[in-house]
Amino acid sequence: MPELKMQPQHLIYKKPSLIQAIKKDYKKNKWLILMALPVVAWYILFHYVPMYGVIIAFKQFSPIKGIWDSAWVGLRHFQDFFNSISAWRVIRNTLLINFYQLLFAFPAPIILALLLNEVKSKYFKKTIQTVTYLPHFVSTVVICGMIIDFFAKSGLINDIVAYFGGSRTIFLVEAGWFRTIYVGTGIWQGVGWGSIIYLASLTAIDTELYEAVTIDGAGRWKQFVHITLPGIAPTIVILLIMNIGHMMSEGYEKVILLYNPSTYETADIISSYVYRRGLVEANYSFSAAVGLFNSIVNLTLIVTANYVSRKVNETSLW
Amino acid sequence: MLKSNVRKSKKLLTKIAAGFLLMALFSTALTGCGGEEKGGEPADSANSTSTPADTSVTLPFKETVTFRVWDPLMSTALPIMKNYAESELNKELERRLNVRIEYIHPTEGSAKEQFNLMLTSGDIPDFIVGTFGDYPGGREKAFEDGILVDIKNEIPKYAPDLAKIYEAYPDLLMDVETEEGRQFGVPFLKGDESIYTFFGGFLRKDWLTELELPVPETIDELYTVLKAFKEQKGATAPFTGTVGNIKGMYFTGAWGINQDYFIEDGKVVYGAIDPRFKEYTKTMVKWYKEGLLDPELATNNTKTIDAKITGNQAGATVGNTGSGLGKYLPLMKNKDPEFDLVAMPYPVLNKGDFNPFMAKDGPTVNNGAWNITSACENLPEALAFLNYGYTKEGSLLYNFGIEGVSYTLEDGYPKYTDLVTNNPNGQPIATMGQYYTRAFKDGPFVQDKRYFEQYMALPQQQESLKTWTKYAKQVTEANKNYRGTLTPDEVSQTTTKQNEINTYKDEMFLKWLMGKEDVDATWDKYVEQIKRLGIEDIIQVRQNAYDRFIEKFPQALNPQSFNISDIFDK
Amino acid sequence: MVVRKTVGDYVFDSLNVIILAALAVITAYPFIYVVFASLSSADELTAHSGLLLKPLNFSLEAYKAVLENPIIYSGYMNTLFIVVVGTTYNIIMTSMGAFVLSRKDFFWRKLITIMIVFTMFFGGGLIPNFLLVKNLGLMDSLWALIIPGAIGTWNLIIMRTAFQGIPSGLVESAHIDGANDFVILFRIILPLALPTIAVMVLYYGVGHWNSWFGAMIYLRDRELWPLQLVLREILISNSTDEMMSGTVAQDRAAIGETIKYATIMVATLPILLVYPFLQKYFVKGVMVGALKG
Repeated sequence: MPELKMQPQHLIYKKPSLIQAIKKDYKKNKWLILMALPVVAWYILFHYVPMYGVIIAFKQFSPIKGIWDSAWVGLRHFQDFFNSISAWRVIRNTLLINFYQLLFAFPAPIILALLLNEVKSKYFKKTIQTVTYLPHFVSTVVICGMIIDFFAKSGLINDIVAYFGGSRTIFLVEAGWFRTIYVGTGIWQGVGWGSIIYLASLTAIDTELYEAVTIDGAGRWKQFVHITLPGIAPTIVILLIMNIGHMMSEGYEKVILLYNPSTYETADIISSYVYRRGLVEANYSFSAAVGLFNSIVNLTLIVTANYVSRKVNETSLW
Repeated sequence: MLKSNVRKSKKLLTKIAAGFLLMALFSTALTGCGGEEKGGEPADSANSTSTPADTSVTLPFKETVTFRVWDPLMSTALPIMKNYAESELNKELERRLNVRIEYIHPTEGSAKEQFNLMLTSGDIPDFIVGTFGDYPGGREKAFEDGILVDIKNEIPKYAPDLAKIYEAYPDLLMDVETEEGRQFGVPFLKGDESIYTFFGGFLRKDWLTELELPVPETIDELYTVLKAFKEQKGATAPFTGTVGNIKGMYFTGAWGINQDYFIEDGKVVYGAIDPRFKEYTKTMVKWYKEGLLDPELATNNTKTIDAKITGNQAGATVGNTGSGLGKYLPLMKNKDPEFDLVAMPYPVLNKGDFNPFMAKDGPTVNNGAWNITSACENLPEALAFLNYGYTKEGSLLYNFGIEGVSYTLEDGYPKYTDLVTNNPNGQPIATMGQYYTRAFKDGPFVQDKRYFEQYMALPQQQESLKTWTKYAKQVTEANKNYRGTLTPDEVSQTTTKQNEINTYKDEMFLKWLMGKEDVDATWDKYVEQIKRLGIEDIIQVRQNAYDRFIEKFPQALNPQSFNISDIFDK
Repeated sequence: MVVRKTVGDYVFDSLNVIILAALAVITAYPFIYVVFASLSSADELTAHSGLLLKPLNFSLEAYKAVLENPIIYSGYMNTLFIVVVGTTYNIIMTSMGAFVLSRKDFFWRKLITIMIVFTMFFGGGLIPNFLLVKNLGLMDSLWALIIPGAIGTWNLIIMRTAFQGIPSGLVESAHIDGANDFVILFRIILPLALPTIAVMVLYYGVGHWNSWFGAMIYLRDRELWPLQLVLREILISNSTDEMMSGTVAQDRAAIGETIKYATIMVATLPILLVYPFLQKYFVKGVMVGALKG
């Protein structure tokens, strides 16, 4: 900064002030600022402006009066929620479904990627990939239609069970089966697509590393433990953070298409409860309160996960 | 340097401003788009001369008047139109009355969500078809919120023919007027008692004949029949349907209750915790256990039920004359000439009893009512248009369509032409009927029984109507259905409690039904839990509402039967 | 790598192939079943139980019925518009955002990043969003399905990471040559990040193709409905209709079961036909995005 020298009061060294840094940046990046504007404006308009709406959680929202003029009710909706018989159940169900997903659905694509990585025939590998990616592209409406059909009493799954001498179960009315079906079909839907990211980081591993250890006489298991696994570990960690961060934010779409009163016991999760109470029963304020509670838990979870990851792994989201 | 900085920041500001301007332009362009697509909505209806209130409005209107209406579209109409505005009936209304109706149809299956969102958006049409039961706080709240308008005093002025009907049959006021004496809309009326009921149970007649069993009238007889269907006909789901069908009034009625609120000796009773409900539940549990009820009750939908009935897996179900009997009989005619169905009366416990709860519609059908909203800027025209359906001429149009096109008069009997009953393009009567008339749906008019006579062409259908109304007279006299409207305060007091109770009740019923819990062992706990959730408060609130209703309409204690269609012959 | 194979290697390789092949069968069969079922005769399908290995009594009736439905056609057109225009808009906005965030020398980078990431975990909820869209005059317009969804934050982060992988020297030298950032982004960066862009096109495109919720909320006019909303109405049968008047179209009921499968096929086929061609970009694209999260 040559200008500084001309001004005596700045002879003593000072860190460039905030204003100066902004000015300097503007000089250099004015086009970049122009580019950032629409993006920032979009985020403000479509994400930050609607945030004022969380206040309906503390009001008795009336569609006619609108958000501002509805009456304040304080924490009544939160009290109603925590006093209801559903509160503990939907929280438990949300956590359990996500726990099972972390346990089974999270490792599945990693395993698939590792298996695919060991395949020698390019053609075979490509075929498997094409096929396993497929369910990812089919809409939830269709997937759920198929699930309902296949798991019906006279559906395909039961036909197969019966063929092997088992007795038919009506899976979708059995609360005990819901999580299995939900998580299981989730794996079926997502395992192929989820594996891409790991395959990608696998290809990014320097082949020279493998060659080096092979010369040292390492077998495939050793290669796997010493090179492959460490190679994809950062990817695994960041995705694990994401998953933990989303533990409480399981979407309602698949749940509401698959559940019914006989499976609420295990199937009703926070978002489906919010959907039912809010959009169907028009209890907007109550459902906003539950949703707000959920958001806060989510935020806490993700910030914690990110912090932990940064400490442990030096990998973080921001 | 300072100067140059200032200059620069000015430049920056200009750029920022330019950027925002750009975005503003962008968004106004978009707004323009959205606005255009909507076309000129209320403006259209507003510009027609608002007639001074005391001048009567004459039909046809001098200038075209446009109304918008929220009205669910039936999927049966879809093969021929996406919007009722495309229907011949609508075009004829425009020709005759110079009125243009624009329809907003909610998505099937999401009508509730969209109704709520429509209200939230503040963009409300002139008419809303339906009960307003989904409105948060109820219909009275919708009035308080300024959505609905009270038209009671306007009806005699602008809808004289409807007023005449009210005058001739004052009992109708119980259905169209609130306890406070307000009227929010015009009703869909059923013209004759013979078309009030179209729902009930039916079973495989050919199986009954083969097994030499009579049509069951009692629960025990039905048990025997279902048992025989299972054991001798190999039915895997002898009685199919949904949980709602099992739990609905159809079976509970045999025990003299329903599972919701009803009236007994002037007192409000909540059926689901009544000891008789326990007895009923135990019977259902037994049936389920023995495989007499479809094990998939909880997940069935129309399609799976159809498959079971046409696939010989089920021998009995409940349904409508049209969509039940009227669907399966023609469907199976070619496939299995033996296939035949027969209606069974609403079941009772002992011969000589009667089932006090039968599905009965009318004379008013609430979900067909046309409510008038505060968005309607020309009320006199609106009422004049609605009144047309209650005139003799309008009645013919709404029920039968256009003379010479969709019907011909034979000795004074309006007979649908082949265009409707035997469409050259193979469209079913229910579809074509909606293209030319509104008799196959609902609307602001009096539904004519002659529509039904031609619609329900099969002898089994005609007979079913007689079978299902077997106890009609006793049902009317027993008068056990709950009546009364909660005030907005009462609604907000009870909604959350009621939702909790419903969820709990539904779950427990399924647990019992599927044998997860024992009825005897858990019944007391169940009643206790529902009481803890506040049922007693709700019953009290409901009792107050019922008492208010009876105070306002003492005639509700002695219901009369009448046939509105007669008024056109007078 | 030419390596000497041990017995263990052979056993592992064979097992691996068997496991993967089984997985492929499990994944593909439900779809094959749908294809066969949609091409079957309705009566035989209802009576059939167990696996389908070929269409039963080959019939195109169900497809005829589905394609005759006028609303399917308009649904297709609307979906096409949303996918094409929406995805283009997504890519422009997302790449601009990603480019901004990838520039380490940008003063506002940190602030904007925090601001953007925060929205992933906290939002105003349905009603304020609905009111916003309504106040912007987007109700009953396909733009309501495009503008509010301009950027998927997770996609933005992936793209940012991809851009970060491009040597910053490129940007600097372009700057020295007098190119502004827009030119740099669209002329230099985007072509270099083509695989990532391809994946983004796919993510956004598939998202648009499969979504129905926004349409249900914002669109009342049936003419504007996208395919998935139409599909949902066809697949979900409702009983309220029947309570009122009492019939369903008998012809439609007769082929109800097969019609369901044919509808699924009609709505899914285009995507299934397109995606294998984009597949070669998946790995490359996601790879760039995933490197050093």
